[in-house]
Amino acid sequence: MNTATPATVSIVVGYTPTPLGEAALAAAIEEARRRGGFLHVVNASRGDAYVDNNMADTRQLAYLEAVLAGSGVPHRVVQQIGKGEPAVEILETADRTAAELVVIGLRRRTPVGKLLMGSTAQRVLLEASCAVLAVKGG
Amino acid sequence: MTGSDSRELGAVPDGGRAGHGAEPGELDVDDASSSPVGPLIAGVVMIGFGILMLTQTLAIKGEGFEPEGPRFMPMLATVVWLGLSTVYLVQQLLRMARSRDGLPVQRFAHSGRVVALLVLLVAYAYAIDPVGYIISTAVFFVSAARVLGSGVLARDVTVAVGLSVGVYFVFTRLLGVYLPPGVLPL
Amino acid sequence: MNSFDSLLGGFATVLSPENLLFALIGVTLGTLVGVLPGIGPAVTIALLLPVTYNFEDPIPAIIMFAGIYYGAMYGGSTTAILLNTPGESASVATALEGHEMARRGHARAALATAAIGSFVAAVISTTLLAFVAEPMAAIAVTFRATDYFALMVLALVTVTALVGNSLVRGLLSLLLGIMIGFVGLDAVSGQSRFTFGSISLFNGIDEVLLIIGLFAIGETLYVLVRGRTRPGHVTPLGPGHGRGQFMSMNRDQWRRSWAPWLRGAGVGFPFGVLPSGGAELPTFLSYSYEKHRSKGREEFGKGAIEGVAGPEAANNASFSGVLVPLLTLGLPTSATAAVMLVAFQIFNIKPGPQLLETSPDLVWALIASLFVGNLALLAINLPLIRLWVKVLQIPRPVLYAGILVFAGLGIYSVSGSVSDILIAYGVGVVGFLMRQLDFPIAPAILGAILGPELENQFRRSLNISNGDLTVFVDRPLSATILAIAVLALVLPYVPKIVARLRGKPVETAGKLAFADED
Repeated sequence: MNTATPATVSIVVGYTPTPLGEAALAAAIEEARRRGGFLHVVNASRGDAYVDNNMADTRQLAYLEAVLAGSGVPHRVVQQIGKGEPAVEILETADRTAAELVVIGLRRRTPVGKLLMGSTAQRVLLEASCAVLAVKGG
Repeated sequence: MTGSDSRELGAVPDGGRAGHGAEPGELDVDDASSSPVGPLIAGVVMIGFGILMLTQTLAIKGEGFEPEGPRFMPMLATVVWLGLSTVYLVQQLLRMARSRDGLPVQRFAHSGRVVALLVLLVAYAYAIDPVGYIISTAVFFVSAARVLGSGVLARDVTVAVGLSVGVYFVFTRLLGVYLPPGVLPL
Repeated sequence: MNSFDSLLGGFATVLSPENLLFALIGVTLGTLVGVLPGIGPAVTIALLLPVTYNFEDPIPAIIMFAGIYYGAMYGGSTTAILLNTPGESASVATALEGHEMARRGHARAALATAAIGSFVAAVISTTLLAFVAEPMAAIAVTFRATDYFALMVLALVTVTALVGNSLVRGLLSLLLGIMIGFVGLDAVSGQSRFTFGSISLFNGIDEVLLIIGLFAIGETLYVLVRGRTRPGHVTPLGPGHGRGQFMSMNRDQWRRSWAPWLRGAGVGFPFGVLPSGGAELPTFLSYSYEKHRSKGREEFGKGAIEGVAGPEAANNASFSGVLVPLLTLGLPTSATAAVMLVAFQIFNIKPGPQLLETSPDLVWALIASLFVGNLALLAINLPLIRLWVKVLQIPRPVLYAGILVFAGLGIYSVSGSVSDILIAYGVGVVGFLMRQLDFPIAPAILGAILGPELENQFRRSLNISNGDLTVFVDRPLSATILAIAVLALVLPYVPKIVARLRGKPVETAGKLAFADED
């Protein structure tokens, strides 16, 4: 990993329009700046409920774009809805871009909550083939 | 439920692979399709059903169609049904002739899943008594959730077991409604 | 004993711990299903019928079902305002203005004017119900078979003509229901009808199977076919308690709300009493009226509080109105009222002019429970709003698999025979195809439940008149009601006809149309 040239370094961040997602994004921008990498921002939703607060709407996407533009980091935002598990989407993006680092938000969850809702963070941590930076949040 | 939607946003200076796994147009399919075939078939089927009901009406024992008798109202309903089904079919044909737009109709997507769910439902109906409520319901829930597009097995199993056990005990012990215990020694 | 004393007696019944518990369960469940799009009060009551099979006392069950009915209205307005998806069809008008208010940061005020307006309208209309019930029953005693026949025709016609987009499709749906209602042995002649020679059909198709099939199974298949959809976003509630606010509304919002509430209640109650297809017509009328009346008309469509206050009040008031014909005539005027009628029948209670004499406890407890339930809804709706909205995050596969489990439970506990379960599935497939082809469901339900009774009154009338069909027009009351029914069939086309007379293109006029179901 340490031999990659700056221009081709890829960093993938799993983004949600929540404080946790913002924290992950901030850390990812920081890492992208430090490593001179290209930032892939992934916002994925299973699309199987009437409401998904983890999916960014048009306004939130515009805000996200503004934050990224302000950071000056080269980036691309991918929003994937109704294709499958958000974890899979993050992992696939990481594989496809041969990412050096995946950044995710990590929050404390009860075992029941994890069982019922599934844990995107856990799956990414266990299955990623590169380094994972887990940002802790509330 | 294979629908998906992907968007690519933001500056893309590297010209890398755009769009990945996108199957556009699969989401938000509640727009009316313009295919006239569905309503046409429906119109023909409804007329056929009307004729079937007409034979059933004539099969009702009794003489004549005096208004007090058992044949009058079914006859009236059947005849009006046949008339309106014909109107529906003609409406549909006229619209086809005038433009390519059909009557409002939802797209028949995921038909395989509809059939799969119906098979599950029938299997469930036959399994409740011999297998018992709890096991058949739990298995049915997990498989129905799968067919409906769920991808989180652990969650489905947890909910399935909790729901079937909970319903069984609340209904049999608290509400006095009989549900078959089946193979479980309850 | 006058109505007031009877009502006090009703309160005494409702305030027992058991009945109070069932009222609370009812309004909570009602709110939850009201919040969810696609699942209405009718199917919820049908799915819960097995819970009550072994109740000795019908009062808690009926109180719970009524709670589900109006709880769903409060829940429906929540989804309409915060998600712009009307949880039920009577909330369509609310979605127009309420969601705009929410987008402009006035979500709390919109929710508050909906909830408080519903409460105010419920109190007014339930008071009217309490004082109208006895006189109405006294009048109903004088009704003859021909009048009942005419009233049922009117109820069926209004649900068919005023709800849904197409008269042809509505009437076909109605006739399908009526034909299903005829299945079984004819009560008068003992002949088997539409049974296809199958003994299992001799008792007819149970209404519970029909409702669960058409609504629960049909809806699940429909959701399955539609697949995944782009999830919505719950509009943020905005800041909590602001300065100069009382119950989340400021002085100006209160000033603009109270008159629409009263007018909405004034429109909703009579339209509920008259057969007019449920709550859609009065809510829409209230919306149109507030829009035309408003000085700041340009604000309509951009979040006018009057456009939320009026329709929501009308919606709730119409429910108490619907109870008047249901209790005093045994005449359901909406799909949900028809399901309530089935619930009454399970307890061998026959709504009608005699109900107040035979089961006064039940009627007055039901009326008193409306006051208590609406007060409870006012108390739990706004403070727990975040909880209600959470329901929308349940993944649809889990939600609908659960609905299928409860549907199976309901069907199984009706009969336990596999053939009946398969009949319900068959009905479900029909319900699914009807949704796919844009046929309304409510007329089929009402047709199946009212059809046999309609034929019954028809034959009774003819027996009295020795087969003379003019009996239906000889009596002025019957003739008038039948004339109104004919009018109701034509009314939706008035804009089109007027446009044609004025030589305007017909396409721009369209048909007066309201949404379907419940």
